[in-house]
Amino acid sequence: MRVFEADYFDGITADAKPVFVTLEDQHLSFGVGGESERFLLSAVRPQAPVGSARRVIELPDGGRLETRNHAAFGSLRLPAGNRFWRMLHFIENHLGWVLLALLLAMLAGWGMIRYGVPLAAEQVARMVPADTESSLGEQVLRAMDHKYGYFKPTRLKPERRQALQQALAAFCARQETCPPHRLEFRRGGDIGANAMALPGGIIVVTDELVALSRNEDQVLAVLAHELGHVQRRHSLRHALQATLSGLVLVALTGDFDALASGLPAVLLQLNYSRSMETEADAYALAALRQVCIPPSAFAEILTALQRQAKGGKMPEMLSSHPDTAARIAPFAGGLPAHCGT
Amino acid sequence: MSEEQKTPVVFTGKAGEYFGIWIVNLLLSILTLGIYSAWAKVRRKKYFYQHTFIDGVAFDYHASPISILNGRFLAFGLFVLYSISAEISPILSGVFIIAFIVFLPWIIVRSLTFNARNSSYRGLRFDFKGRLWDAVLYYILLPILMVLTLGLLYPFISQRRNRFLAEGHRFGRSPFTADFKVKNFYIAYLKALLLLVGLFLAAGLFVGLLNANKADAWAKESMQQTIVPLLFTYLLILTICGAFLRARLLNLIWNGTQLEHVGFSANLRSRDLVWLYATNLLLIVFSLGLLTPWAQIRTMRYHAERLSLVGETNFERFVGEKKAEIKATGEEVGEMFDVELALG
Repeated sequence: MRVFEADYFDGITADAKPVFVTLEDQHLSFGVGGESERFLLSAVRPQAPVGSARRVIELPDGGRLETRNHAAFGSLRLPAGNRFWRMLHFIENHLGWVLLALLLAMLAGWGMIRYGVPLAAEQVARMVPADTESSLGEQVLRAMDHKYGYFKPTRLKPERRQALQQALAAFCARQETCPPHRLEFRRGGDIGANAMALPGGIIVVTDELVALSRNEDQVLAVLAHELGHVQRRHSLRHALQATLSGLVLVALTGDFDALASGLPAVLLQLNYSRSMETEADAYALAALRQVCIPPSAFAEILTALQRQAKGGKMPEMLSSHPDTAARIAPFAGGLPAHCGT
Repeated sequence: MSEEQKTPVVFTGKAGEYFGIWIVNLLLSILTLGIYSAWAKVRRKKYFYQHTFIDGVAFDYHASPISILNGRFLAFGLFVLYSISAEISPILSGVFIIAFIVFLPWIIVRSLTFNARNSSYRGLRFDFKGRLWDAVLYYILLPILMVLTLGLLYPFISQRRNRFLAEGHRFGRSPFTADFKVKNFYIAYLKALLLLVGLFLAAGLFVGLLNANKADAWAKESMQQTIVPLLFTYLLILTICGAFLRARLLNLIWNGTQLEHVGFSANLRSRDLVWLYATNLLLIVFSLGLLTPWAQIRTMRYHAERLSLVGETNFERFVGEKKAEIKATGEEVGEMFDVELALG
């Protein structure tokens, strides 16, 4: 038998009635206003403990007992479902376990955004029909062509454009992995020398990039990089990853500060683009070597872009991959044996 | 008149203790792909409610995680449908948004009712009895009129909304009453607007002076170098003005609210809130979110410290009636689409 102090609320009026609660084997009882209340222990509902708050026992008649006596409350047998909460309460209040939870939460959050989301995006991308993807690409291009968009009509001479188109076609004809694509020319204006791959295989090159290049090989090197993006459907996957990260955040931020959980996700988002750039680079290197264009052409045009970027314009190919020196290192090698001398 | 009796609101939550709850909530939410977040929400609210005392007795929160989860699934489904519709055609997503606006008052009333009925103090539940028609008026019709008056109507709408929120609530069977002066709302908003304009002018002047001797250096600097400090200044100014307005409005609201014979007295200070919010923002950003629990606890403690009950608190005069539960749908849809309800 055990006796502890508590406040009793009958659920009808709001005043607290101080009582002494007696715990027996099967029952809980207390006297209030000259009357004795007695309940089966199996019928009362002790609430899961939270922090250092007063412990609450809900009574079957709608009343409740609130007590500061945590020890007495702890001796109450709990319904099975409540054991889980008592375990959580234990974890929440022991430093070692809290630190472990912190470590696991960081790991799990990082793993989900870093591996879970890209994996899911890849699966979803596979389900997106080619038609949908190309109509998405057309939409993006139309938006960028708009009066207030990035692009202006190209001023390149038709002969120059045709020469590049033919060079790209010849380039593609000589390898097995070339994905379906369409080459478009635009004047970059504010975005300057740049090239990008849109969903559905649309590759846009700006006049400024063509002007910046010293020879056709340098333009082809950039196009090879963009073909790498097209082949892996990076544009679509990137859009899907952004959407999915957003959904994950929405699911979590019902309870957590959007800012707090959003920040690491943004950082990891940068990482996505970085790994995509690396993939596209690897594709470009292999393709250039196969058709016997010196890989150094890519290194040269990247260096030229980098020099220009000091002026304030950052092409997409550079912005997510700041370490240009490390990036062009693989392109320093010569041509493979099949190219002869 | 004699000196009136004041009863303080006491918040006993501690950041260290709450951190454990917060991180376990976060971990389980991630591991269950967000499913646990409904349970996490109940546990977090219980922590804050059960550590907020008036006259030695704390509040309690009773929502069932399952009904929150159901609402969340519904809201999530709607969100996905909306995202897809936005991809397919702008017209379809427009239809979606209009349908959402039409249902908004219903969502607001439902979520207020859900929240009130699941909150209790001294064994009595709260309730919300605000009328749907009033919500339509204050959240849809008046805002349309506001656009026509170029925003001049906004403080008036704010006053009406807060009165609707305050007077809709019941403690047991006792209704809250509200006496908010429209004039005071206009003064508060006007001061906040002047502060906003003043701060932007000051910031603009500062940037101008800083760059005056560098001629056109401004234009040449790279985007990253200029846009981050600018964005940060912008955020800071908004935080300051938001905190200022919030302090003024909360004081107006609490000081004009009455529950039977009990009045309320709030004396939040704008500069305290500005300091609180600005430091919270910095600490959360620079700790990558890890100091969020601390920020939440100190914010709650400050609000409690500045609020008290006025008059005799003889609680035996309050009586309650037992209530059936209500589905979480309204509240959860409201949460997902971030419908801000301006009552602290």
